[in-house]
Amino acid sequence: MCLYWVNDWVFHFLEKTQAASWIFLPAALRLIAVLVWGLPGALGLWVGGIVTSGQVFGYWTPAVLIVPPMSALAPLLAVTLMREPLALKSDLGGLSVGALAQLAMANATCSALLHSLVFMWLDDHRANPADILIMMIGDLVGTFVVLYAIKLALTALRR
Amino acid sequence: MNKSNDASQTYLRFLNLVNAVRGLPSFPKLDAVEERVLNGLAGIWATGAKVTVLEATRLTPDASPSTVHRRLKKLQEKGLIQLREDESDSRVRIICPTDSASAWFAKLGQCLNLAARDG
Repeated sequence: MCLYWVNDWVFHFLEKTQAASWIFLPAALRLIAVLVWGLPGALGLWVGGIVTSGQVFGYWTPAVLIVPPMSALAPLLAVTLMREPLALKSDLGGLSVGALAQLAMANATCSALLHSLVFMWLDDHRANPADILIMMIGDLVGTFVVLYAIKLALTALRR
Repeated sequence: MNKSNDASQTYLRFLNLVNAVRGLPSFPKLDAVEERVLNGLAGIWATGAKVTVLEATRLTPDASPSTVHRRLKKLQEKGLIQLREDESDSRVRIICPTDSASAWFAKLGQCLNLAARDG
């Protein structure tokens, strides 16, 4: 919720449509939640997604039923698909920066594709194929903005 | 037991994720002594001469050799210098610049150019 609010407040001028922004901070939270908590993390995202989707699309719309599971499924799918190629351990032991970047990329791709498919299926005005790329870039940039913010916080805490 | 196992796995995942985030590339910050040592080394590298660890400890007269030695280790940890064995004597360690060091000086050069242009 907090990241949605920060995203909307700081980067509202980079928002192309309600569903596509050049910087989308919550993408990082989705990836982190699934990496740390796995399936329960994804279920949490689903429930949280109902609240945030309601605020974005309106509570009594089909999007509230369909968008949240996609938001939860995208990082789960990305982590599952990348587990073998990246040799991800169940405890994330030895997770490298490169692997984290590839996970962020996979998450951005899955999220953009799934959300676009949903919007197309709903025959929604947000279903613009050109927005897939914007969503992908937004998710990727948002993820790195949050990861670097965490890194800065960790560095500051060490002092 | 199962619940505590799950919790410890979650914590381990969190720690490993934090470690990966800590490794994100960033521009290294140097303290004043590290900067002086790196500048001294750059002066020697520019002439094409080799510089050993022992010679480097005498580069900055206002800092003791042990202080400079510690700073050399820090510079190595920050990826700005690397130590190589001398081809003629394996006991001697030569200090070489890394790509990050070149990027560091290039960045400083750009800042100077910018300052000169705006000044």
